[in-house]
Amino acid sequence: MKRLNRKGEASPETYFNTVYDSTVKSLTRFVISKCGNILDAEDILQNIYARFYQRIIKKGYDDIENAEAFLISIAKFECKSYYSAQKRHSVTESFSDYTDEQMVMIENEMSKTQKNFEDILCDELLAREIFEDIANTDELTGKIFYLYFVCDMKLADIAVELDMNLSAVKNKLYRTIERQKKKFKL
Amino acid sequence: MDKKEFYRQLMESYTVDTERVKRNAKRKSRNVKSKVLVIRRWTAAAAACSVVTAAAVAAVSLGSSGVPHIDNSEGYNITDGGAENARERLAAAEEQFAVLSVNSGVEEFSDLYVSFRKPLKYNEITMGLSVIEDYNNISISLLYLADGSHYENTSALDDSLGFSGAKISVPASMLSEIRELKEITVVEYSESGITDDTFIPFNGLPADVTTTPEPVSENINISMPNSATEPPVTEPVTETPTETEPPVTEPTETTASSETAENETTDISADTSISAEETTVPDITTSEPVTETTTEASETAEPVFEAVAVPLQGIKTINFINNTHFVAATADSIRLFRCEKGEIKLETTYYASSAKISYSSYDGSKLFIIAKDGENRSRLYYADGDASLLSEVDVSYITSGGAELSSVSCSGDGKIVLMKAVSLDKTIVYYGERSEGTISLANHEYGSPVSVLAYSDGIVYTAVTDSKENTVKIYSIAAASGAETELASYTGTLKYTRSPDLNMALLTVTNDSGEVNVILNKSVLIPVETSDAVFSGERNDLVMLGGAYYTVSGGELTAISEEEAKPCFETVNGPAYEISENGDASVVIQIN
Repeated sequence: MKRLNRKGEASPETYFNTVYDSTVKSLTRFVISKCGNILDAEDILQNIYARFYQRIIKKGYDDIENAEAFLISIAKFECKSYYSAQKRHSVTESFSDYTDEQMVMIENEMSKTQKNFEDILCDELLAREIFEDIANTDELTGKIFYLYFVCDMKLADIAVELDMNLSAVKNKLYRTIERQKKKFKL
Repeated sequence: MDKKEFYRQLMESYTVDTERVKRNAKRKSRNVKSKVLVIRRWTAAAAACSVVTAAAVAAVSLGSSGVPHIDNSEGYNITDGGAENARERLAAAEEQFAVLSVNSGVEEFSDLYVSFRKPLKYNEITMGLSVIEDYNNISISLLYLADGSHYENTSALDDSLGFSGAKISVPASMLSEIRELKEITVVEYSESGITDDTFIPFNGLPADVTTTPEPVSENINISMPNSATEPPVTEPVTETPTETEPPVTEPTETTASSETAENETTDISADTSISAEETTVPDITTSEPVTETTTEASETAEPVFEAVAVPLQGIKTINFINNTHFVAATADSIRLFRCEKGEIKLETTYYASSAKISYSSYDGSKLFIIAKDGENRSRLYYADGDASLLSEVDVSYITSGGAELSSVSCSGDGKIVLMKAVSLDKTIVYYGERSEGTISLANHEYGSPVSVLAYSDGIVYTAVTDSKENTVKIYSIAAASGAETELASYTGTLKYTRSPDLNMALLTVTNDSGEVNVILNKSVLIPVETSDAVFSGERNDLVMLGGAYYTVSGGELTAISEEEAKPCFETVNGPAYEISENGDASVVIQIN
């Protein structure tokens, strides 16, 4: 019988919680970069951490030197399984690039304070609708949004990460922002 | 806020819910099956009732209604931090329950920290949880002593330890049932900020709220009103003057062709015509002319349907037992109403709380309803659509020792009744045949949680769970002699779906290596490849497995054509009704 002390040092659950809190951000970024659609990211993450938890319950965690690296290896396996079950869709882009001027204008606009954003975020239905509009645009746009706004990555780095050319990344980002501006009055 | 910050917050909030990922990852790794339960047509009413019950108990934060509320319990030292902290904890628990119960219709799992009324041994905890019919969906991960020190739930637990609390994982749909368990005083949620290391069970609750279960003697007779001959017990109510009227005894077998149910009156009645097509038309006929009748082929008036308000407030559930009678449950009563010529009249009232439909026949005409009286004892009610009656079944002999009636089921013809009563040290399965107003019962006792799976040809089939060893054993018990035979043993977690006639069941056992599905029929376990099973209510030998139809006979499955089988799976709908959030209700009935 395994007795735990009040601090729970011996508990796999405590270890899991600690590892989870310190790795979930980087794992989410990894999964979003590798998965097909941003809407699948949560399911894949669940599987990764479930495998990890099951492993430490069964075999302990003494032999795990770097939990994040260990998780990334599980993540690679999960994403591979995920891809094998999915047909990859090639996306053909047929729109013209934004001019530099237009891009600067959009960038400037994004830095302007707008009062109704707080209200929109509080309106769960509307906020979810806006999110799903992004996620359902195509397989890449949601990922670009996440990596750009949440992970604070540069567009050039996102292009490398997603194996796209820079102008395609920019176009997807700006075109969606412009479309949402009209559609949701953002 | 600028647009960059807006998109950052938006994407962060909606892409991945990290708390949910964490919770579900733990749940998955514990091998608790998250798949949505296979839906059986005949339990639809019970499911609806369960969802409403969740809302009904949202206002209380303590578990069982028999436990005193914290605000009235001055002097009880229930927490390390004193009464103020206790109130805060209860307030947080209450708040979280209100939030989580909104999701009670889904199979999302929640981690709960529960405190017990008194220290319980591991086996007593599992027995207490087995009052809930789908208790196999509940997993215990940690067990707490009164001081907050805790143990993992392993097979090596010392049996002499008494635990004051536990961390359990349950489907959101079961939250209300967990709260109603009498062994549980307080349910708290990890969403309130409680962690495994900070949780300390509430303890020190007074002894006078505990009851000592007494043994129940064997082979008892329980009187059950013969619905064909005995009048229902009526109790005084103030809301309407019609409650003492005798039950309607007019013939109910009249069936009109479905075409006559069509009407062109209102939008609501248009909905009704859909359900009316699939059921018999209410047998109330009238000679009064209907002004807008345009029928050419018939002399009789077109039936006109309209939504009529039910003269009762705070309605939680409505179940039609035939086209003219329905049972309505409120927080503290169960009532039978009769619809007649556009009026709704109260016929019978029983005062009882926490009404839960434990059994509904596939067509909804027979209901067993379990509820609780003022002393928190289980009461059982039987609604019979054939006789248009609601009556109480006397189960005091079962419950007088403190045992809680957990489930009641019955065969399609209403003759075979199976009941399960749970007390802390044992579960008793009662089984027997109903004949002329009496149920001759025999019983069988178990020291571990048990599920009643099926009954056929005088044999009861049960599944006994050993949570510590993670095993499920399937037994057959001869009703006449009580002789028990082990049919099979599985490692893993069991879920089951019973046929409406109780003659067979689909068992699904989930373990590390996957899923095992078998159909139990007449002591034979037939392996099948899917857990997606729907049993026919019309024919007791028919089952649909993963979209294909089969007959089950002599322990063998035989494929049958869809053309022949499909009509036996059609859903039976009763009249339409609507219940508003504040408990006002209207039913669509024939008004002419």
